[in-house]
Amino acid sequence: MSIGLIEELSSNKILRATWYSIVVGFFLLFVLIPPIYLFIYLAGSYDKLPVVLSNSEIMGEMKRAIYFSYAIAATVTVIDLISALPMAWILLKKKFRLKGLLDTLLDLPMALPTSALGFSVAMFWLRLADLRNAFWAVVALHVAMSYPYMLRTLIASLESVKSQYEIAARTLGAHPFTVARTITLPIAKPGIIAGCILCFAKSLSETGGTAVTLSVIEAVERTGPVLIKSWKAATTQAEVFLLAGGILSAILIISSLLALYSFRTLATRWRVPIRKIWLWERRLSQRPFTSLRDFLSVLFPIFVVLAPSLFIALFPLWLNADGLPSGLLTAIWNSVVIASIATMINLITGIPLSIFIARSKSSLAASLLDAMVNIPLIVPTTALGFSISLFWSKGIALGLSDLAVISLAHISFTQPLLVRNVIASLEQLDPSLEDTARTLGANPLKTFRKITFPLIKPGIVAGTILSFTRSLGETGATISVVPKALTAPVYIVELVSERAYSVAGISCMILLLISGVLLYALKRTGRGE
Amino acid sequence: MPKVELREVTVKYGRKVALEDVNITIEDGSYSIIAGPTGAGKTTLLKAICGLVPLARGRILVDGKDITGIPPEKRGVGYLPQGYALFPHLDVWGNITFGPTSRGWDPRDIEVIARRILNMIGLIERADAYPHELSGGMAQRVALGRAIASGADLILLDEPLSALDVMLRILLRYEIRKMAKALNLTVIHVTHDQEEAMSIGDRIFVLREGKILEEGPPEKLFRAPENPFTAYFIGESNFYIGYADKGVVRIDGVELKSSSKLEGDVLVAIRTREVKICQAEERLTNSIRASVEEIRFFGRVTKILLNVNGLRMVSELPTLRIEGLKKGDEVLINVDPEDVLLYRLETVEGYPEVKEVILNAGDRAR
Repeated sequence: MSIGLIEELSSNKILRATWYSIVVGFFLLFVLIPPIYLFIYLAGSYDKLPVVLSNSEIMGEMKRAIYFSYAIAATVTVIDLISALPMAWILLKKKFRLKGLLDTLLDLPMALPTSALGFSVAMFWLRLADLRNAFWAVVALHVAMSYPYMLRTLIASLESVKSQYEIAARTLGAHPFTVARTITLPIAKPGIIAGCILCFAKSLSETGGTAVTLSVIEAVERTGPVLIKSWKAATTQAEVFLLAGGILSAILIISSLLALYSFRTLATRWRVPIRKIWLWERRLSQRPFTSLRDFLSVLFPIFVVLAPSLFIALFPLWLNADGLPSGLLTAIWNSVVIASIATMINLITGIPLSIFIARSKSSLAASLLDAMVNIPLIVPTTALGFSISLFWSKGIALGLSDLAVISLAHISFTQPLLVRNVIASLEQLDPSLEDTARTLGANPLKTFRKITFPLIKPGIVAGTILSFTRSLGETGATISVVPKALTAPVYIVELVSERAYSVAGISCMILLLISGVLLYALKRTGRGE
Repeated sequence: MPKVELREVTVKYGRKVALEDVNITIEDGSYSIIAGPTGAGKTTLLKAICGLVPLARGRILVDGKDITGIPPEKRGVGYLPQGYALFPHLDVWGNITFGPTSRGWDPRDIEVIARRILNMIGLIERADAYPHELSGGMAQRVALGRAIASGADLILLDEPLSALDVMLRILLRYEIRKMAKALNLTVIHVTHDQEEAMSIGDRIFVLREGKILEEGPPEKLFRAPENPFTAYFIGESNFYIGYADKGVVRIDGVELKSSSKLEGDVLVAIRTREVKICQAEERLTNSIRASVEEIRFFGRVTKILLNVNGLRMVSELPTLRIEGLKKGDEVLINVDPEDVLLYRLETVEGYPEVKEVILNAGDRAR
């Protein structure tokens, strides 16, 4: 079929509706049905459940892991918020030397595979402070990993507050701190809540780096996702572990959704005491408080985020290279193949899905989809991967290869990244441009090709790089499909558990380089070049 | 040069009715104005004609041919949305040739057409300029040229002048009309500006809340509107509640002769421009004494707030004509019985905005 004929067909409403149904169907089948299937599966094997539920060892481990995960996520979110808020303020409103460099470097942990990041951070704290407390070691890692996300979200939401409000408040006699507390932050509250949800979900979901950290400090504690990983690896020995992993995944999926939606509801209602203004407050707008605040806010990310993340670069200096990472090339190749497949399919199905959601915002179906697209961003990827693996092996036994199932798992949590970016670009696009193109004689597909696509391209490129990078660095969803899958992040987890630190270190450095290149590409597209 | 007919056209957005039973005929080669307040459904009407919104009911005929249900790219109707929607990533040449290229015309023909259009709109020198580099007037010409290049001879304009400065707006409204007439186009022009509507329309259609209330040539809608909303929206009027009996309408203490045959409780509308101040020696019908309460200067015209036996009335007169008039003066005013417009009082219930400006309606008087 020629392009001309396909374009001609796009004028047909029924064919268009069919195409959108296929895309939405794909999303439901590949992203939403597997978690639902998990519950069906558990309900179906109710006769075997007592074996797990009465096993006090398994149940105790499960309870401790869930508590451990949530305690860490809450601590991390609080630390992120307190430390990133003044930093966001500084990066947005102040000028100082090396600000641009700091701004760029702080994004680095976002591009780094968390297992490499976990190795770097764990080594840093172990060498520097002999940190062997599992709770704080994992918190240190999760803060380093999630701080940039909090910072970006806060900057974006503070940026959206019109400066007129602040100027008006200042002219009415409020001191800068009071303006921030009573005007800027309440207006920026939805963005602050979004940042907290993002960091909480990131911490809850993190698997690879956490596994590495716990293994480096030889801790016995397990977070939820790490426990799923070990149980998944043990399913070959006993089926009870498959059920246990399923139960834990189900609990994590439900509890994370409940926790974050109720947090959002409560936080939206919660009002800061903005009516009252204390007189001592004005002191906070004066030196030395301001200098101290600025100093601490800049120092924190340098020592807690940057230095631990880049520590790995120094690592080979005091360790002899006792061998080259022989499996690394294959692992990187596998990672790239999976990330490419996932990103390709995301592009083919994600763009139409975004168009459908953005263009029919008023319809119930579209607003439901809009909310559902976010689910994979909130639930732990390990639990998601577990359910996908279960669905494609027990639900629909097509005999898909491990690579295919891993790719499907990666699609589920990377698609939202692309879809969110494309929807955001589409919402900025003036719909009358497309309308006019139609009246000038361009059919829907040609309108997309010649008008919509060129104008939303920066959003598509950014979403593509983000989902590619995210897939490249993912451990949890890969491990929960195949415990020994040879992707680069999993390879590092395994090297660390085998104590092959120097090979792991070199692998991390290579991944650091690749991530740096991707990050640079993302920054360039972000500036619209 | 098509003739456009809308038959019982109804458009719904979910449960909201945006257009209801619109029946209008746009004559071949005419310059028609759809006038109405914000939210009346003006843009929806244009989108329905070019196929961008589906009809819940009704038909649209162009030269007798039913085009309902045909996708917009196959209608050949030119649409200029508010702000023109010039494609920001294409230069003037790319914008002009977009239509012909999309329709798959011969590249040599496209070249010829594009040159002809660019010459016509006087932008051949700026063919490689991008939309953000063009002035408001140039952008408008490119948008119009782009629609014409795609082969459209029916052009729909959505508030084409709203983005421009006041001076340019007045200048350009005649330019569009001139160009449309020279090229023999049928134009449907949407506006909420009643002065714009009156100055360039061959025929005005008054749209309010999805319904066409009245249509006619501008002079008719100004002199003798059949609907009180038209009297409110097109041109400025004084509104009163009165009682009509045998050609005389009583408004509180004031009696005025009216040519209307209507009797009983009525809504009275008197154009501010038809309230004239006459010389003391002239004895015309409907001459009444009034005192000047306030004078508001508007440049070419001046609005005089009058007290007519306790009744407030606004008169709008050319500034030159009232030189020397000052606050507190006693004057003689005169209104032609033809210009004392009467409507059934019940009709006002459908138009809360008209009710709001009735001058003798108790505390709400302005």
